[in-house]
Amino acid sequence: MTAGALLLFALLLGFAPARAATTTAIKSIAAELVCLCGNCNRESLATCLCTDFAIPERETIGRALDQGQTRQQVIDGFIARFGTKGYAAPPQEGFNLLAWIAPFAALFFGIALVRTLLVSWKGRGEEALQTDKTPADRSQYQDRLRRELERFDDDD
Amino acid sequence: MIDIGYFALCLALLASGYGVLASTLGAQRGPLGLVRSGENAIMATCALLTLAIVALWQAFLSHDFQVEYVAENSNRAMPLFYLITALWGGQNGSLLFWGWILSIYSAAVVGLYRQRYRELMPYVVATLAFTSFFFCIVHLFAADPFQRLPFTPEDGRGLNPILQHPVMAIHPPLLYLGMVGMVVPFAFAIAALLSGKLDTTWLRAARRWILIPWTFLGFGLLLGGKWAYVELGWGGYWAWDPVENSSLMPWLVATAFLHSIMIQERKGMLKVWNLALAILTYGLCIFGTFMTRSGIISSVHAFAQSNIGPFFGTFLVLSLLFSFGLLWWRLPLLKAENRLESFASRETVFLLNNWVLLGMLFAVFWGTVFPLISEAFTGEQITVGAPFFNQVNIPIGLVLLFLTGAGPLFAWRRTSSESLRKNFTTPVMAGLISLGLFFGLGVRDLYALLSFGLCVFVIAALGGEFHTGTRARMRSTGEGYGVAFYRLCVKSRRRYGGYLTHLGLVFLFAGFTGKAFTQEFDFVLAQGASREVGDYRVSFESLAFAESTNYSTTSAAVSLHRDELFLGTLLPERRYYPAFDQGTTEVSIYSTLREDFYIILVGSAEDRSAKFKVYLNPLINFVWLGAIILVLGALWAMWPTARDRRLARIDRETAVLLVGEHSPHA
Repeated sequence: MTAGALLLFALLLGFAPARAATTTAIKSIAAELVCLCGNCNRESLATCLCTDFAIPERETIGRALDQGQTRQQVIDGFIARFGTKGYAAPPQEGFNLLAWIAPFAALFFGIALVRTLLVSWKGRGEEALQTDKTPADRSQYQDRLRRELERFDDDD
Repeated sequence: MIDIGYFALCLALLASGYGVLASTLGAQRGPLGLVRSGENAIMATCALLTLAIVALWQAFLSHDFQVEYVAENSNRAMPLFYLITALWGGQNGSLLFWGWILSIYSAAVVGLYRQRYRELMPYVVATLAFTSFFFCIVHLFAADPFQRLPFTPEDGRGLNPILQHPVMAIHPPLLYLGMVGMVVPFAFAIAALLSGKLDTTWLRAARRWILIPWTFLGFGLLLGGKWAYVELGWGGYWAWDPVENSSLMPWLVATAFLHSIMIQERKGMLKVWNLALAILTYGLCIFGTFMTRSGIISSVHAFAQSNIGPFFGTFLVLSLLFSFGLLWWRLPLLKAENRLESFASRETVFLLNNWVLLGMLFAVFWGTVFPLISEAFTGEQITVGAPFFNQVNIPIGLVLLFLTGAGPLFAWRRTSSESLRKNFTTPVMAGLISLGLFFGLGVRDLYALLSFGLCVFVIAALGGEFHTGTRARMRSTGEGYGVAFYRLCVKSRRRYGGYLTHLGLVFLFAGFTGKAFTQEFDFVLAQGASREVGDYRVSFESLAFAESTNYSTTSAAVSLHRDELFLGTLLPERRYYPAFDQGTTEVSIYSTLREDFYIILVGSAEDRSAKFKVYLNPLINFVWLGAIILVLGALWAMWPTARDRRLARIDRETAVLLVGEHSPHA
């Protein structure tokens, strides 16, 4: 129980000081960073409740803002101390730019593939129609096909 | 009993191995008896693994701490409920649980299809038995749940405190039911490839067998979100954690598969694609297991690093090589039978749906593995967290939401421009008007606006589909609206069940969008003091301390008012588990459909003041509601129709004839 009470007291101390920087401003910056305490597996610095890292670091952000540092300066300061793993998302530069580009490149590649597929299916259909039987046969066949498909559609 | 459990595992290994051999030999036009023997081996494997599971449960209940797994995951202070759920609380037990569910699925397939799909079944059984064989190897040689310690400890370590939650009794089994169940459609795909019977027969079987695990997996994912929401105390439900992602990925592919099989059933197209999706879904389930349990990624959910990684890695690579090799070999038999009549057709929308789902899959996969890739190339560790996944997936998700509503507005084969205009006018107008309304209400976030507008668009589109179908039925049958609506939904279960799942998706998106409006408050209150939090007034009444055998608790009583109306007393807690030297947060929530008032006790001081954190989470209950609708829709869709029963009868009759032909007395 004593250990539990001490833990709770420590938690409270971590939150105690009042500051000029608003919680929203601090949280907005902290949301771009992660907790690096080693126990919580890099939870967002904005939401993590770790007493040994997240809470003191949010305090540090608050103090930096009070001293007049800009948002970018605060983030740069955090990264200078802990490395790029402190970012919540890969920085959009160098090799890590690939992280951002690849999903959209894959989407563009995918849509090009879908388009090619659709065009080829459509083209094959038109070719088949041109080499088909006489217009009268075709019409008869299409009527029958339509009737059967409509019956099939009716099922589900 | 432990020896019996271990012995049962050894026998299960032999039975499943024999099942592979007997079924494979039986399939090569061997005697029917050999095929039946292979099926019986599946039943025997299931019975033996059930025995192993019972043995492990018995070890937990009797506090047999000489069993290492029992000592690590339970203690004498744990209540009965958590002694039962502790079975899947750690690596080895959860793998045994996984193998057991696989054997139940396999036995169900064999039991149900004694007279059906006879050309496919020997290969289906061989594939299922081979997967069971692999899992038995893992149980026996890499993750033995019956491993004994050289001594018997007085007490065990106990179950991880964050797993001691009622939802954790349901969430992992549902996920396993989902992930493991994907092996059945995979087995049918492999059977189709091996047997050369590549018509829609395998799809007919696979469709229901993918809908079942798809439902379990989807519901399991959302239940996991619910657990994270109430247990982890950060106000959210989805963190894009690698383990969460590893369960989401097969669900995305399975969703694509559920749509694309309709094109093959109707048009005889996408044959290769459907087989590839069945293989990929299964591959992603094994990949997820490999990723979670090998220790290659770090995650709050991941199991301790162990030596099972190489087993799963090898199995994954060999399975994929074999499956895609088989697909390559059968390519000449997989030509499309039909053509696309028009770009303006449901076929096109379904293809686009597959494109979006696979695009989302790639984005999730890429984000999950990118830290490994980056470190390999640059030597620098990076984090790929929620901001990345949100930025990439939100626009993709919005396209998916649009297709959810647009798909039903297109007809199969072709849709005339007049029909398109008629079908789209009301939903588009409804969407645009709602955009204006939400903008007028002060919503300025672009994605949130688009999401709300699209939600209304989809609801209008689906509502129109239900209404038009009902009116048409009323005209043709003379039934009243209610009766016509019900019979319409019963007659076309698959279509309207599908629409209901689409409606569930709308609720999910509405809930997700609510996250954009979350408000957060941090404050300290002295005992007896109160303050305003949004529209609410919070009064800190008292602080209480309690001890139980398992943990100690500090709880705060907080009364909640809105507009002078007493809403209730909330009891947020912090627990401390001495066995783990770990604290947990037990949040307290006042829940309405509009929003959740979510309060966390962050800490308390000697003067009995306490620090609180409050989240006001708008629309969050739409997420849970959406999950329920999604499940109801899936259940409606998978319920057998008269047509299914008719097909089953034909299959059985055909099987009887085939058996007659093969019988030595025929």
